[in-house]
Amino acid sequence: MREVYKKVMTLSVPRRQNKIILGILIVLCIVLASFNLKYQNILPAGKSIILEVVSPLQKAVTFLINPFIKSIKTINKLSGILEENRILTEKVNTLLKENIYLKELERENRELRELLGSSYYEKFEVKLAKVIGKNRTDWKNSFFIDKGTNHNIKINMSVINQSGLIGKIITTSRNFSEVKLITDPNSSVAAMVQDSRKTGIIQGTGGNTLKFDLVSKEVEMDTGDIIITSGLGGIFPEGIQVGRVFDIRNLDYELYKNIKILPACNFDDIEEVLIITNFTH
Amino acid sequence: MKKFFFSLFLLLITLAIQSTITNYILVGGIQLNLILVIVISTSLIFGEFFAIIFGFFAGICSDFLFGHILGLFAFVNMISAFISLKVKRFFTQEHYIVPAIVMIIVTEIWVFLTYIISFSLGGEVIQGNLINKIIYQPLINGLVMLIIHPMIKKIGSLLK
Repeated sequence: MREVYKKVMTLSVPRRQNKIILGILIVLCIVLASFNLKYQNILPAGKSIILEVVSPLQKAVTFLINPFIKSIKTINKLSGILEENRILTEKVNTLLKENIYLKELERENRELRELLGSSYYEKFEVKLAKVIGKNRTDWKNSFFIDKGTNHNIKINMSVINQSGLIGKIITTSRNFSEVKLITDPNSSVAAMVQDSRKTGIIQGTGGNTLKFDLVSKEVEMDTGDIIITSGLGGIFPEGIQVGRVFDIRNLDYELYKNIKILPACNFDDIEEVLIITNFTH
Repeated sequence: MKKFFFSLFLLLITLAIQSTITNYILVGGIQLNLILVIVISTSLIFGEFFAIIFGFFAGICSDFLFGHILGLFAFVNMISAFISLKVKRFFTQEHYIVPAIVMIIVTEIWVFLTYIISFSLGGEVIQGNLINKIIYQPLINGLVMLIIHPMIKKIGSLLK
């Protein structure tokens, strides 16, 4: 027994035994995969344990590399900065005029809101979390964040930022969680066109675009239309921006319109997210 | 015992780096697979038994953190680690470029196996990504292997 223990700890056993071990582990992999296909909750359960161990390291690495990443991004942006400056100066002038008009509208809005009670969005409580890791492969698009069950984060809570919808919480551990992005191939979000209120399902593609599915061919739509969450399904609150339509095709062999959406959020640059903690349908 | 703790530490650091830094190291839109690089590198240094065990555990951890089917990466990483030693036997001379060549060959096998298994279990295969993966993944992994392998070899020789 002592001899076997010594061999295992020194990681050296005869070659004949290696093949037996390999065979056993191959069978174990098949068993694990079969269990996983039958019991879907095995993966999240194991993940929360691994997250607790790895996430502090992820947090440390993110903290260390963030200054470098920011510097590189700034250098990349420098090339187009003069042109951007000219465009921004023009925009500032236009926005100054708009601002005066909007301030007037805001005052009017505040007065009306006081008359009607609180606004829809003020009902939501949000929690700020830092993105500490990313997992973007063909099969899976997710972020790891530094808030977990200790911060009242629960599975299926919606995750947003100032630009729009990011995804939902799929795994939680005590101090960390995993967010499934709306670009994940297995992600579905009930959504609608902001102006026409026509509903459909936003599906992830695994890439940087989304698909707006189940929209009838008779529905009139244009590129640039804004897509927001419809609130159907009870996971995501209504009215959060998901993205903009950038390609519409009516293909003969498809039942519905083939609509491509550009997400409102740039998933490559997200460092912080907001979790809606009190939404219930 | 030293080897065991070194492997555990290396695995944890690699998992943390894989989900942070490697997101910014993209060639042709393809991310470096640092976990596979570490698995193959340590396998070439520590031998067959280590290759099987470390490949399996690194794969299981990847399955939990990044995977969609439990056991997929465990199987593929373990087989890749095992094959890497068989591939290495074709090279009679010890040359610093050999591990990189082994890495390139094994990565092609890894990509092929991952996609075949994933596809047969109902996963979607994005054609453009697959082609990019076949071309770029072995190149990035091979290149990083050139840098990392001598460092791990040095630490490995201290542990032996």
